[in-house]
Amino acid sequence: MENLNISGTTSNSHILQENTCQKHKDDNSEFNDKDLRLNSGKNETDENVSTSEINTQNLTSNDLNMEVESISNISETDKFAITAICAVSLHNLFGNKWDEEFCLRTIKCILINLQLPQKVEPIMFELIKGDDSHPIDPYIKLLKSQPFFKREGLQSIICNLILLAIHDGKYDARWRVLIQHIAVLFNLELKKIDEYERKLINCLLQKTTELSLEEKKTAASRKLMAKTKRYALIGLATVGGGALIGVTGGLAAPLIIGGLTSIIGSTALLTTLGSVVVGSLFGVAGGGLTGYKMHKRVGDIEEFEFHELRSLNSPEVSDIKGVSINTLKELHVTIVISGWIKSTSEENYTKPWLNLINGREQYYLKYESSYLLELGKAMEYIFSFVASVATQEVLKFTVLSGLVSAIAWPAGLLGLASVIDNPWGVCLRRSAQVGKQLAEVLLTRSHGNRPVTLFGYSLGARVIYYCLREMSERKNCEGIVQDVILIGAPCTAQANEWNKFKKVVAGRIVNGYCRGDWLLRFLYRTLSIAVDGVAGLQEIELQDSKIYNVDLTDMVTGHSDYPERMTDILAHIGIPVLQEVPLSLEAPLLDDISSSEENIS
Amino acid sequence: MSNFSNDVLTTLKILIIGESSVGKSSLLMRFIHDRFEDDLGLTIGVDFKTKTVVIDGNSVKLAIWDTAGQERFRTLTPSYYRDAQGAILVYDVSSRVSFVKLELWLNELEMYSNRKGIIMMIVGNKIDKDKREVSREEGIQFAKKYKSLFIETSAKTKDGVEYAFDELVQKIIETPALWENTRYRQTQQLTDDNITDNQSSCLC
Repeated sequence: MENLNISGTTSNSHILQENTCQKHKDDNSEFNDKDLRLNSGKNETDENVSTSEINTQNLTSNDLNMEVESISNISETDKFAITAICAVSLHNLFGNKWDEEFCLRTIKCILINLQLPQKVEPIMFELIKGDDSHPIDPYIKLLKSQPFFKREGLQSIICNLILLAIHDGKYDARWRVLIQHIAVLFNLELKKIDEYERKLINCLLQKTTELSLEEKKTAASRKLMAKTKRYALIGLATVGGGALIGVTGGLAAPLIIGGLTSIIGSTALLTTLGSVVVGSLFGVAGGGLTGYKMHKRVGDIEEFEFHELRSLNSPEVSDIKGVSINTLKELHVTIVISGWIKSTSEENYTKPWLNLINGREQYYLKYESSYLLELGKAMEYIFSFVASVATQEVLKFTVLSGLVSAIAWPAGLLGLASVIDNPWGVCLRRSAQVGKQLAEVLLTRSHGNRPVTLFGYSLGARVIYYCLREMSERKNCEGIVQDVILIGAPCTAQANEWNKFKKVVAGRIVNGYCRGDWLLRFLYRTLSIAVDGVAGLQEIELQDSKIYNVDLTDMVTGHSDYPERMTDILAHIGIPVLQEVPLSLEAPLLDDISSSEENIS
Repeated sequence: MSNFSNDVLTTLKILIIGESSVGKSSLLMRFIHDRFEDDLGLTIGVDFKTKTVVIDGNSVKLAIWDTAGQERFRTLTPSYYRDAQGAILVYDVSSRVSFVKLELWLNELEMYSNRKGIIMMIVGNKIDKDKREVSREEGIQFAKKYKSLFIETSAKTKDGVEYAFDELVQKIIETPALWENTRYRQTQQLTDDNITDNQSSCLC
């Protein structure tokens, strides 16, 4: 309509618009052609199932290739909407001064990748930097109304963003948070992101040289790929004509430039930004985290090791049995840290986290076992004293109701104080040092250039607290840590201390606390820190979109419950766990607290 | 006020709206860079430019939002109206349709602008063209009806462009109620936004 109306007078622009329309049609038909071609290519692969062991993965990479390639068939309207959505999200997520450079770099990267004209840059910068937050809905509506979105959906956009995020071999935690944020805006499940990332890794691991579609179809190239893959596995640095740029060493898989070029396709990204690809995405040479050696020792730490946390009953893991070890690598990594232990077996560290499936690559930190064991024994002793549930409930409600100073501890309990006070004090000091050591590990990117999420309860949470504190005082601490989940943390609840962590953590800072945690309250009875509040006992009084306080009072009776109830707690917080729907948790995950309080009373 | 004469007195948000291809971007290009291009191409979404001008010895920073006239970007434009102090409504004197449609733009502006008494400037562009479908008188009548400023311009020959912006800014500056409480309003809005952000960005 608009075209017609204007056509009488401004013929120039009319023609221009008509042209764009025409071009659109062309694009569409071209796309369909390509679609068909790709399909036929896939069929051919299907026929040759037996010829190659990596066939199934080939398929996925083909699928993916199609998804990502099609992003070049996208109109300027779509591009504008996508970029604006990213810009406004960046403003909302990372409005702080220290993130500004990252935001501008990111949006520039997106602009170049989408080949938007230069003149769009100022408006995007304004959307990021402006004092006002702009409404994001109009852009989402605009994007959704476009044929591209209806045709392709979100997947190609998200995949393209992930590729952009890792194009320089570094996966900034803020990028991942941004991508997750956008997924949430479009009501996409977060686990889909993990899925796309896996697909991309698979794809990147397959592609060795830049091949045209026709070439890819030929058996010869497939053979070459298989061969290259084998070479890659044994860590050879160069393969034929294809440049193998980064070798992550040992078992870790290299990402290969050819793969990226063929995926990102016609976009100008690689030529413009330089084709530095992916050396240390998966961690330093050797075994990554598990191979970490303490070169620089903080304090007098005696034990500090990472081990893989793998729940063997997880279907996700059994699914991928038989596939090479490379696919177990993820674009993000999870580290869990336990509090105390009851015996020296590994199970003490792993059991609480057995149902956690925050991605496939999860590690647990084994630290200072002898001291944690001593504490564990002391705790057991204390608990044998307050063995009955009733006693514990009484203690819980004493703590819940009493004013800080007015709590009258049972005389018997006070008599036992000497048993636990000493190991507790030692562990407090040691866990703080371990935290600093952990900061060292993360700052040197020993876990790879990828986001890390930290989980910890009790002293493990204290480790995380001191890790974040140490990091916040260092340079280049941004963009490493994605989320942190601290449960029953024996550390201060002072808002201005936690405020510093906003710089370090890109995503969520979760403080899970139990107001009636009598043991924690008891242990802190004489310490001055109790005046400022203990994080494991109360919420952090900080109004920020990154801080999440989760009251676990109704889920646990106190400190000792954390290991056993971890699955429920994690589910309550909204962390992906293996669902063995616990009977005790009848209410839906995010039910409001009032209703669960009713249950109790 | 004179104390601040060397600093930027305030930042004014100015919108340019109107039908597609009436010369909004060309006007802006002439004003900012003093250039004219025959084929600027269609605006994608919105353009953003800033310029600092001196009015009565006071520096005023203009943040100019040049919206796309195309139908498909229409969903976006309302979001740019917020907090604007001035609006330039452009039509093409050689296109009656673009003039008639101006009424719709005015209505939209009234609907979405959250500032009372936003200053409007109606601009009849492309007076260099031989063909004319809208007379000067008609334009003036229309502007009077809506209590708006009026001028005819040509981005190509530079006629009236500078004047259009200067006049608008002058008028805004003469109406302190429009801009003096800017800071207060902004902080208030920011906190509001933060609250909604918290709700929407919860990943749980």
